[in-house]
Amino acid sequence: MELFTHLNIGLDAVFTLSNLGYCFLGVLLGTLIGVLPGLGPVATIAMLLPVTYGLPPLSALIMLSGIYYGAQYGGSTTAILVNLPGESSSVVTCLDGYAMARQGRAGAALGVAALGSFFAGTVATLVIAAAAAPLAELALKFGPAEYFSLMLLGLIAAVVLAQGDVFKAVAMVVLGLVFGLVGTDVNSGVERFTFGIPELADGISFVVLSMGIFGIAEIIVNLERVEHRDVFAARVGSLLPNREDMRLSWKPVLRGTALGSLLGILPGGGAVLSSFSSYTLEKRLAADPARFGKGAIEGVAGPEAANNAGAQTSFIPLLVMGLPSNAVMALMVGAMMIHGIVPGPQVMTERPALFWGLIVSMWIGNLFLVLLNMPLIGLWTRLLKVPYRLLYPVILLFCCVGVYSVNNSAFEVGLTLFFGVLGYLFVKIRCEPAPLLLGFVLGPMMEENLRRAMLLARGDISVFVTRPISLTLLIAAALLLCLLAWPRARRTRDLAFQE
Amino acid sequence: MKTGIPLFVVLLAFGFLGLSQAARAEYPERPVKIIIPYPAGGIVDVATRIVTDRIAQNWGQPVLVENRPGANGNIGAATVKNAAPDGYTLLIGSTFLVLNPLLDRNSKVGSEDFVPIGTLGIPPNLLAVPAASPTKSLADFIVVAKAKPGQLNAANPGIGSSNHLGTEVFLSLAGIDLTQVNYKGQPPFIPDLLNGQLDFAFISAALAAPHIQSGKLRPLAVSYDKRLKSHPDLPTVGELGYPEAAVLPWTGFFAPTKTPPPIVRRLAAELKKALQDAEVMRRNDALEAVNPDLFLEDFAHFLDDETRRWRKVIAERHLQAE
Repeated sequence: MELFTHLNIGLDAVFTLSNLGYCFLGVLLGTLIGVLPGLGPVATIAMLLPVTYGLPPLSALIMLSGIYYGAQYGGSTTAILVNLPGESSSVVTCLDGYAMARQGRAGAALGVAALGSFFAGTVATLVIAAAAAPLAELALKFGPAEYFSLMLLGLIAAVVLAQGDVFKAVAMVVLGLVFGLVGTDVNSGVERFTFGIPELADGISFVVLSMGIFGIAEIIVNLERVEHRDVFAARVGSLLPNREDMRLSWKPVLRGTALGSLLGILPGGGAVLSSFSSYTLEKRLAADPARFGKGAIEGVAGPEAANNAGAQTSFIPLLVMGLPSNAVMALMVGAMMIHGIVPGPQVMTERPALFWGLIVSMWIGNLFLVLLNMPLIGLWTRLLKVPYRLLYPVILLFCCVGVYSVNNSAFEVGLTLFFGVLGYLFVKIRCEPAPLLLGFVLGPMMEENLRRAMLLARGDISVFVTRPISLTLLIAAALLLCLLAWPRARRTRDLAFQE
Repeated sequence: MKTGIPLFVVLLAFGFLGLSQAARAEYPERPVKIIIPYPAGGIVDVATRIVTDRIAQNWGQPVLVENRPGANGNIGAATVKNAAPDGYTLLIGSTFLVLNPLLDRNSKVGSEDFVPIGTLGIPPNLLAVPAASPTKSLADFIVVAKAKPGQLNAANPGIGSSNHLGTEVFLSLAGIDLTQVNYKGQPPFIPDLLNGQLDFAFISAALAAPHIQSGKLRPLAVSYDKRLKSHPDLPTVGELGYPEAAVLPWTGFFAPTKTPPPIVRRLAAELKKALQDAEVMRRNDALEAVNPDLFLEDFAHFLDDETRRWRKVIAERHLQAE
């Protein structure tokens, strides 16, 4: 068995005290920055890049990748406990995770998130070991037309995310698209909606928008109604998911793992897209979709598994083709180049110990993470008992530090506050921010790929249906649209009959 | 007693003088900050850190590298322009310093705001086609492109990038027309180039290397005036008759305009010393980097030439956004 030989090479390389140490250090750091709102893996890895120059290449890569997937674990903690997405991919976890925490089931939510992530991480690591090469070829088949269709599917899914009013959801998606327009147009180099402010020339950063609309807005709302918070903080409840939780969760975890593993290999926000689409899928499949957004454990289990699997498989394009699929992977390219390793297909053959060592370290890292996080659940939930007047200045501080650290820009800290106020307004007029975020992420990518696809096809719109992957995605989008329209029509009719 | 006081004062004054001279001789007395106007982990970032690591070791004083990406280099450049001209805040400048003012009338920063110190090693661009392409040489490619005007696609990773300008100059010299497809930087276009949706690209040698090695990408020429050590058989654009299509994404150290000349000269000497270090040279080779070795006045003259060159090309090829 070739696979076992390879894993053996990897095990040999990883099982040294120092490499295991760096792996643990990486996931510990990752968990911490994931828990701290705003501080993300991009800024952390960028800061640690020069430090890793002195390490052997494998140790450096093990530690840096540990930070990345560790942050995916940690990000869910803040999302569940204080409704702050520590990572962009944990935005969805806020929806039901925080609702569970409000009901005193924070422990169960955290437990399911950790176990689901561990399972997904394990599977995804095996996927990388067994099928990295063919999957990377699949990623190569994704051209502009395929990306456009995928983004369209994602945008339609965004509407499903929303609770309540469809029109409000559509409006939020559109608003997200508008915010996404800010910046320099890729095709002409002309700046759009930047008002001559150079800091806006590259668009609004995702961290700024999500931190403001979710994090800061939540703080303002909480300060308004202190008494409510004390109620749910007083009873934290069971620390572990019970049998019923497990029964509800295992299927979403499986589906999330599959979705995440697939979407993770696609460049451009694979992990974010995977958690959003897993949530949408679970909400669609649920017997009672009305529970979603009100503390449905499936809404935590599925997306958490998906984002962890996605984080893991996003290494595939990097390791196999040398192509970074997101900002963190771009930093990993830098980390490898600093050590004189040019990432690409030759790494697997020329430096097998490095390649397989890194893959094996991911599984070990995931094991560390679950061992680290399960006992920590008790500690985290106790955080809820910290009086809010002490907690919120700390959260605010970390938000500001985190936002600043992304681009070393004070302007972006101010912009975060602006979005905080806007987010508060959304809460007041009962608009869900999640669709806005998805519109914001997908809109610009969709525009870019649409124009690129049209340019490559010389204006022939049939390119979207003549390329098989694109056609499949468009059919899926159409089906989703039908599913969306049908039960709503029925429900409206039911309501009409009741009255 | 009366003479004692002046003596004491004189001694004290000499003491201070001595101290201040020692301090000046000992620049840098605190860490020097270098602003890279690009994200961490990119080619410019890696190329800079190769040198700053060595300079920091030579000085026994940390060199703080800070990434201030945004607005095509303008944000980082503006930060350094407004910093105290004391030699403690430096900029990694690149082609954008010349091009931003030419392309964007509203640009508030340009090469005239800085004193050039010296150039770094940076990977040049290669002219490359996907391996599946029938063209085996640049001459082949030009023949095919002439037969299908406007039908072949070229990658453009950003308006005003060295890749874009090199492509424009090459198209104009070879008398061919390709459709340019825009991307946000080079890595995003690589999949489309490998799978043949794009037919041609000016691509950094550092990014192209693994795909040339795996046989997915075919280099046709080097966009520089010397051949690469790693590809001794690959001709330069000059050898093939298009010397002006050599467009290097040159990168170098800059200080704010009013920085004292002794400090600027000192920095140039330090940079020169670091570049000759064996380890720096080895790491630069691994990055496929080349260095035009321009310092101080030579670098300044080069910048003037660049400004004239690109002003002309931008007007001729209508590259300015409306």
